[in-house]
Amino acid sequence: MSGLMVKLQHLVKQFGTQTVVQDLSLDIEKGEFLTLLGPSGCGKTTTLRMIAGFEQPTSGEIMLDGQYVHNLAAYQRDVNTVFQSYALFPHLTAYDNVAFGLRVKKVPKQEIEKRVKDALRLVQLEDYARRKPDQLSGGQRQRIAIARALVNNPKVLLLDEPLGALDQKLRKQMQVELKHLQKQLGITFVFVTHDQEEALTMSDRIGVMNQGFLEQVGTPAEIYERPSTKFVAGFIGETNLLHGTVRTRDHQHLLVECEGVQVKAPSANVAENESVTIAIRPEKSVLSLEPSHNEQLVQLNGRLTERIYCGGSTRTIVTLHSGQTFVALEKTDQLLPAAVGDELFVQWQPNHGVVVTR
Amino acid sequence: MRLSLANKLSFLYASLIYLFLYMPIAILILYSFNQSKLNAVWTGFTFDWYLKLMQNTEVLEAMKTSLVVALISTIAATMIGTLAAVGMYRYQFRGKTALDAMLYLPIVIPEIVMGISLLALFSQFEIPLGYLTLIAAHITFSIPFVVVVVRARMAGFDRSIEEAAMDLGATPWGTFIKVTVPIIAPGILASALLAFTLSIDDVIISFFVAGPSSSTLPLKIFSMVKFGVSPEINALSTLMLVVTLFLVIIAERIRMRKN
Ligand SMILES: Nc1ncnc2c1ncn2[C@@H]1O[C@H](COP(=O)(O)OP(=O)(O)OP(=O)(O)O)[C@@H](O)[C@H]1O
Ligand SMILES: [Mg+2]
Repeated sequence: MSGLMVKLQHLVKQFGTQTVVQDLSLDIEKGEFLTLLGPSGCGKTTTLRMIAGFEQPTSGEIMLDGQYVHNLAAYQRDVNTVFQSYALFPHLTAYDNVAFGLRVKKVPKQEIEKRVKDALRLVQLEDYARRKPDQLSGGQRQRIAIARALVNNPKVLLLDEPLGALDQKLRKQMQVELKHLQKQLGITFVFVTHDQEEALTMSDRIGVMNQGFLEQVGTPAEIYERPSTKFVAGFIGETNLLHGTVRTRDHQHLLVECEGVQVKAPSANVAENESVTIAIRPEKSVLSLEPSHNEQLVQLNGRLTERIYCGGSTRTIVTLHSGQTFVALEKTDQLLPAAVGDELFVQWQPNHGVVVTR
Repeated sequence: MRLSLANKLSFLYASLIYLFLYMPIAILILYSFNQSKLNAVWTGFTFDWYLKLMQNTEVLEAMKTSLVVALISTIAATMIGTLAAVGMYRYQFRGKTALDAMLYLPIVIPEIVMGISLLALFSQFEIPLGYLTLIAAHITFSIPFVVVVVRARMAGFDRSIEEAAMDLGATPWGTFIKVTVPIIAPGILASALLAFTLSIDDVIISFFVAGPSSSTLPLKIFSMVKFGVSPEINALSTLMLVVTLFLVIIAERIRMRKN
């Protein structure tokens, strides 16, 4: 990584009275694959459109490769976009679609031919050059859209849910191909998705957005293992959230009272009597018929209420005594010999819990 | 295969509709080849009326006027109307709904009112009646139709396609020429055709704004009809019909090819 490519400083975007992006600051490195992840309507597309130049920020600054771009129109920015709807030119062939940007920039003819062919080869659609967009499948259109953007060698490629319209299998395949392309070309990718699995598998870093706020930025592992807000903990993967109040704390652990039960959690920057939430991933917890005598384990008891078969694993839902449900993951071939209604214990290591305050 | 009564009735019904639609035109065409001067009896086939027409300098002059006026007003109205339609599609602003409605309003304003008001306007500014006023008037009444047709074509237009062009480095104008226009071209063409036909057969407005030396073909026919419908007029009308049909077919073929 060699320096900054995109710098967003206190970006705000309002449509009328509605604030869609709120004080968003983010640095993106050269050659990085950064994903903006968040639920529908959280402002991902709007953020991307501000970087591309289709929307003017209400306030805040955007820097591209060390240059402020607020007075550059979209066509003057060295950025290309793969649109959510592909937006291929319906009246042009795949070849002419890909060549569009180069022709606009008056690149010499031979060079255009070579680069377009290379780009089409890159997305494995050389044989489809003469087709119009309506003669291509969804996946092929999507790859033409990528080729059309990539052929210009942009500094930054913005991708707005480019895989949204594809079926599961093609989607997985394209995820691998895209990631591979990005590594191979070394172009900075800003990728938007609302699919957390896609974000986790493809990104160098993920920025999680919620209602216009950038909640957390970090590597997939950081986001998954150490979510910093309740929203991130709940949005990325499945998680159990226990709400409580800090009773005591020492340099290693917190003791949090959740619905009358004392739960040990790793130390965090919180005060006594502060309200906190402990997040525990289903796969970090273990189910047992007998209480454990290991003082170090956190242990809650409840009743088995449901088992949901998910192939190799089974999601087991336990209703705790407080009435809250807790989801645990079991290996399908090693299920605990328990039936619905049976009493059992949920156990985990205290430091597998994550304490969040917001 | 035997038809049921209901089928027979609907067949009859459809036949009557088409008969009703095309019978007058068929008679007109037929009698343009009739030897007799009367539009009542068929006495034999002839091309005489067409030949006579070609020697009638007044008719030829009117034809030329009509074509020139139609051509220029079509080009101007299509350009202005297309830009208006694209602008109305693309931009949001205060009072847009009202302005939008006012674009269409002239379609329902009675032609006679349009004619009189244009005449009043021209005399107010002391513009002599002639080619100029004819062309200006035809542009005026054609624009709303162009806007309607182009707007209809734009309805399904994906704005992000224009954004994609700009994203790839095309200027707004380049985007308009290389992307927007080719995509809505069938609409533009259809609207141009409509404008041309409207101009070619307009009588009422032209009646008010044409000068003594700039009579259009319909006006000429109108004045000829005052002395009765002659086979010459039938021939002239047939020619107009053929030209219009020809244009429609060409435009339709271009439209089909584009799609
Ligand atoms: N041009 C606009 N005018 C008014 N409101 C808008 C405009 N564009 C977006 N919004 C609003 O801004 C909010 C964020 O929209 P945005 O398109 O950025 O969401 P998103 O995160 O991309 O969602 P999705 O995952 O559904 O694509 C939405 O509430 C939307 O209604
Ligand atoms: Mg979006």
